[in-house]
Amino acid sequence: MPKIYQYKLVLLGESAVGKSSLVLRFVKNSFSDHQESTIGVDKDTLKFEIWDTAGQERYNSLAPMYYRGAHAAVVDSFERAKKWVTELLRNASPNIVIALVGNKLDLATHRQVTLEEGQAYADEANLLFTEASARSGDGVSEAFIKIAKKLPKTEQQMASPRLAPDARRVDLNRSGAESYPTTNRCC
Amino acid sequence: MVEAHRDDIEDVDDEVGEVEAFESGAELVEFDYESFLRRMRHPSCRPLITQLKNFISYFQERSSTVSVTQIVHQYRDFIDRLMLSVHDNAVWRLRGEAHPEEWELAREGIEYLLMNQLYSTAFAPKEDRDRDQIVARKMSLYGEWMQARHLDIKGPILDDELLLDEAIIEFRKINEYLTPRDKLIYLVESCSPDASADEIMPIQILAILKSKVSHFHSNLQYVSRYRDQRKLASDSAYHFTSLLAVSSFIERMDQQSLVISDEEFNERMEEANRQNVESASEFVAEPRRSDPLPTDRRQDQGMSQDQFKEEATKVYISVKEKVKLGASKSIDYLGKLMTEAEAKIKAAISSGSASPAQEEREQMMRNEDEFQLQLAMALSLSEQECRANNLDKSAEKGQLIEIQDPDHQERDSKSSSTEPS
Repeated sequence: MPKIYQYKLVLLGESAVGKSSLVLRFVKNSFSDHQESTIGVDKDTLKFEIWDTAGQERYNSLAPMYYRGAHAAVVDSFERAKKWVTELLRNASPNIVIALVGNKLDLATHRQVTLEEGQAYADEANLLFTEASARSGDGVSEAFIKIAKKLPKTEQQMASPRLAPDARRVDLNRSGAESYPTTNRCC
Repeated sequence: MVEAHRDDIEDVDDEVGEVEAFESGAELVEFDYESFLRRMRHPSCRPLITQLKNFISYFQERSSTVSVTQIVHQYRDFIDRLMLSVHDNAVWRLRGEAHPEEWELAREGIEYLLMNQLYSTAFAPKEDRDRDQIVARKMSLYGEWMQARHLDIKGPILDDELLLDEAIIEFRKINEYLTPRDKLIYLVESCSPDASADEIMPIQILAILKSKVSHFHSNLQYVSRYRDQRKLASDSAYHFTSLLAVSSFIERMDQQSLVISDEEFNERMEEANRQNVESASEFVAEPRRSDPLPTDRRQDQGMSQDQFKEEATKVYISVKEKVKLGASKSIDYLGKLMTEAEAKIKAAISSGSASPAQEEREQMMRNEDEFQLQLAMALSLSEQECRANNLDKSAEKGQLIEIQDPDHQERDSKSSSTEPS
């Protein structure tokens, strides 16, 4: 029986590089504020909750609030990839799947990092690496499919129905001490 | 016995369908507080009401002595435990079957009822007020002159002043809502429309700075502590996180956070400081007020002593009427609220200055709200008591009301030490 899994995916990168437009292409409809999108892998359905972050450097210090608990991260910037990857490995969930997505066609004429360099770094840091074009849509789905394949399909990721069928079980297992992020935690 | 009430329950079911509930895209089940209270009046819910009342008293007593983390933990634990009783209760089942959707309504109702009662105790503890003060200070320094360009906004939103104005007005209303549920729904609705975070983040910062909304940090903390954690998910979680980020950014805001020249920055700071000295009371005094709660902006701010007296008397009389209707089981608690209100009215009336009167009046209004809610619970009990035990209005009750009459001045000095038994 096909299963539905749910993941939180955070977008990190510089503004104007096309971080948001990558998502625009991935999500069929026009870009609305907060995204949820699904992708089919084998027989299963993966639902992505996409958390966009502000790319301007002055807002980078706020990123931990967004990538907390994320299962996957898309970094859309070769230049700053190392910084983000280091930070994610240190602060994000231990098993986070990180994908480095370059804008192929858009940057073809003035790319500062070559395809080979990007691939080499991705291999070294154990990242997924794809090139995609937000403008043409080429490679965007592929990037997300790669991520989808690498994500763990555990029971924990099973999409819970909005109303737990057995709320009693849910109530008892909830860890009471853990609370939603407070601003104290940030940075 | 439960069987006998089935028709009642089904009647209630029919009614629920017609009630227009709160709007929220994230919900399957429509929540309606009135229908929740109606169900809670069912005799079989009496133990639930008792537990709720006990917890409210417990929370009010303990919140000053235990840490916020602890009390929040106990609050969540209490709701979880109470939900077990709800699951076993026929009112919250459908023809005896498990009914998760009804349980969700019950859970929402319980949170709503609790936090309506506990708002004045739970909102803005000391640690939050300190942070509020920092945010308020930043608002006063940066709010007036800040423009989109200082925050690195790119894109079409930059020119959309209408959008910004709307956001400012919306954020100002947050303090009009008392429950975590309403505050969260409102905050999420206030969030910017379709745009990327590159645009949303700066516009939110700008809107909040310019709104000069009081207790912004406290509002966020209150929601994150007391809102059902499962409702802080998906869209709500994203927008709420954005606002936490905005609050954090504003709190640490300095020249480095902005796109601004040294010259312009110094000029702006000088100007802002000069203005702040002129209106110092507004920002310095505000967080030090004994009453940490925000005012209801819908209320008329100016009120003379005479108007206040008249208003206070009206409230007092209406409260007294309600207490007369109240149930014996709640009488002690109501009595406590009553004596508190009485003391405050007297203190306010005897005080000459306008601003404490304003504060006291607000307190009165809140007490009035508390009465209304407590009353809903009390009435349900009294109805049941009368029907089940054929109890006459007890002499004891009459006595208590007598004691609380405003003519009995001698109680004034003792009122502060009155505790519910």
